[in-house]
Amino acid sequence: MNNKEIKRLLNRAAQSAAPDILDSVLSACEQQKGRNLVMTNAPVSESPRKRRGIRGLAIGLAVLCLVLVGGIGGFFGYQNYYAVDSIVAFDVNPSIQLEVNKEEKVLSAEPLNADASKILFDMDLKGTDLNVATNAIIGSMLRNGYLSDIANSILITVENGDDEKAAALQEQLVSEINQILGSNNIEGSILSQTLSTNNSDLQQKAATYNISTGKASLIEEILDTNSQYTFEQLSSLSIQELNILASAKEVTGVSSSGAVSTKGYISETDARDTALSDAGVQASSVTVQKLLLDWDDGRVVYDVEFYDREKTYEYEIDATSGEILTRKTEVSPLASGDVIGLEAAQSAAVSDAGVSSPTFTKGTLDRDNGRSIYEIEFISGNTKYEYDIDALSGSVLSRKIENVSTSTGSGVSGVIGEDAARQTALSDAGLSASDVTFGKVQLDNDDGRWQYEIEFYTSSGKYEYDIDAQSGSILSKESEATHTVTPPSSPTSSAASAETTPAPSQTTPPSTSSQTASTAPSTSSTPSTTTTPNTNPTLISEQAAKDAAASDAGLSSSSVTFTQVQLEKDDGRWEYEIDFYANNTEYDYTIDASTGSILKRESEQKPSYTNGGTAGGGASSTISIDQAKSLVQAKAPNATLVEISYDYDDGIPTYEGEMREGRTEYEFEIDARNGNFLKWETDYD
Amino acid sequence: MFMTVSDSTAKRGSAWNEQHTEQLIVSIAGGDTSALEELYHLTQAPLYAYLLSLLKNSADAGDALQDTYLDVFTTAARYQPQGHSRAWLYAIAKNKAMMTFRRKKIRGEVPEEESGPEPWEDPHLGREERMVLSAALNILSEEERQIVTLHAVSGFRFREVASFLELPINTVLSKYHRAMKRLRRQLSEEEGV
Repeated sequence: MNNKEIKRLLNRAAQSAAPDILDSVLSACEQQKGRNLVMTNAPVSESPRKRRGIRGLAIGLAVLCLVLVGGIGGFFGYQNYYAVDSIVAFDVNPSIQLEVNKEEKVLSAEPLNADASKILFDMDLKGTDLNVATNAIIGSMLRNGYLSDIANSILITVENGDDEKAAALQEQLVSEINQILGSNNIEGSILSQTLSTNNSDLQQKAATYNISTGKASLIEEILDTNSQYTFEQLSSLSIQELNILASAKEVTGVSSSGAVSTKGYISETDARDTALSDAGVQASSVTVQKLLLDWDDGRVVYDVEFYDREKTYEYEIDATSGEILTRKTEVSPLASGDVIGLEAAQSAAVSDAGVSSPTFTKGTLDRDNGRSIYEIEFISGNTKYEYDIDALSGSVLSRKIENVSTSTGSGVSGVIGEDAARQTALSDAGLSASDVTFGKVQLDNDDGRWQYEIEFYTSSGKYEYDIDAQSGSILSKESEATHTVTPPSSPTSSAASAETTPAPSQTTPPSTSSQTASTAPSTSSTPSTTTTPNTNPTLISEQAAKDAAASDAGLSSSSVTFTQVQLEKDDGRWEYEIDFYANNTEYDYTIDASTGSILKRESEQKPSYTNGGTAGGGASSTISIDQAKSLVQAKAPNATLVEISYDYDDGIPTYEGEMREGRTEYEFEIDARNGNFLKWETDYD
Repeated sequence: MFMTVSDSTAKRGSAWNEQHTEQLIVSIAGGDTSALEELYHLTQAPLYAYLLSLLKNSADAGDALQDTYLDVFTTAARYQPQGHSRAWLYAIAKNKAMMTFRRKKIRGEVPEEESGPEPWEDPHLGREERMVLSAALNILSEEERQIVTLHAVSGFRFREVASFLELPINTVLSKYHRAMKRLRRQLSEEEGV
């Protein structure tokens, strides 16, 4: 079965399965009209009859809409009262959303989950003052045990078109709730944030997962710092759990007051001692690098990490039971020789940044790809710096500079546009558009500020920029310098780079040949590297990815026909999707673009073309995708190729696709055996 | 009769006449139910397919379909003719599907585990149609289902799918092709049995 047949069947299935609901639609429309009429007090008393008169009534309705929009006459005061000024959301596990007018009167209170329905069960908050409603809601959460000295986290979100107003309301609510909790002898851990009202993306996600926009935003913040989870996973967590995760990952997008209660868990000391005694080492002989409460895979855990001269130990300990969940050892960062020491690394970073009195926020020693690295972070003024320093030589391996000023932007009006943002990033990097391939250009709202997130890469490195969408100034930039020690330039060296990390983890078999593991590691994560998000290696080239795929299939790049080569980001990782065809077999590969390792391989034997009635066609006689591209480009030299794909249509190998030039769109289909055009259609928007 | 329907829609889903559709919406805004009837006939099958791709449940998709047309009727006056009638219509449908999710979650129901006949058990479907529907609903992710339905059944161009789902065009393209490939494979296997 080919694509066309599948399309045809899908369309037929839709035709056959779609229920005939026209009558009920029409009668519901009639009823709807009746209802609207009553609301308008229009002088029509008889029930509307079918067809006749309907047009007139609906025009009345349309006129009413205009009247409401214009806010004319007596409607004015009424409308003003009911105009929603702010949306306030309280999330604990119950999620409740209040619509509030300018005078801080509650217009509606909506429970967003089953727990919230319990809280709001017999409350009628409409028309009450916001502070009264807040008292009632928090009181009920306390009575029902959702807030306690063990679970003390709450998220407050204020949405208002006016940033200052939103911030003021946020402050007021935080202090009110602190007071209420304090009078119940609970030290609250209050997360709070303001959101601009223009966030349809977030709203849609919130609706999909049935959570508040505020919680969706918190989840996005956490995902921004850590992509090991999915939105869906996090959407089911309580705010207490998200709070633990947010503080473990140092999420900066929300304000936080008060620490997460650890009363429900074993103490940090207990967690550390459990790990030390399991490792059989003394506290005095190790450096403890990490000891924090985290959330992983459905439970609250302690992450414990320490190293001595030989090994780095990483433990994950169930924070409730004290049970050891995972243990991992690696070669110690001290093993490769004498390190320069944290202070020397800090001063190397600071002198590179050229600042005088920084506040250090992180200083760890890790081993990554066989190299010992200090990860140093500090803040100076409104700027945050993240450095990777070679622990032996003290040289700077990577730097990231980010503006963390707290001023919030206003609306999305007056943005500079994608092209200008791209240009700003390019000229800052000293590159031109032809030098780079863009990975991402996205307008995003971060902390109430609109910014373009831009990613591009060259054959030797990757660049990420955040550009203020209004002023065009660079908010943050990150570039990954090419590694001089272990350049992952060819796929075979990836096996070598895995080798240089002598991991006791069971995922990497001892690699004796150049072939990576023969079992496709489709679900395994990168073998035993420590969490060092800032040391992305350079991406391998398209050609290297092609070669890796072809050679894995026992073929060479020159003997196969590539039908798709695409670089894309999947779950935070860059991957090449490579499809090719040879000897009547279709191959699909997914290649890790950083390491060149094969993440997925699939192959499928295809019937030869002869069953389509064309004798003599072989795989070797098809044109390549590049040849197909030049054929279509020749037909429309100024058009941009939107899509091209290889397909079998009725037993004939074809290239199909779309091109675009201004408002003109071209569709084409080419016989892949001889390059003849089977279709060339022009369409205007 | 089947053939005429399928032939006209097989290539790229139903052709979309933007100008005519906008005229229909203007008429609907004026209360013209015959215009609503026409819009219904033009869009009912692909819209239902899209709702089914989101909800995976025939009864829910049918309800959401009805709510969609009702919303079209009540909000047509607010539609601003700027050449995006199809995206407008599908956005309403998507919103209705979201509301169905939300209602079910509040009631504590898990949408996909609801009892009732599976969509592909519909007696109106032929054998092959049943196969393709069951494959599409069972082996594709929700996002893939949306992409495939919007492009192959509803006739959205890829860049329209990308902008509707707010995904990069490259992602849409590669997901579409991968999804179709998986469908082809699955269906060829079943055919072989």
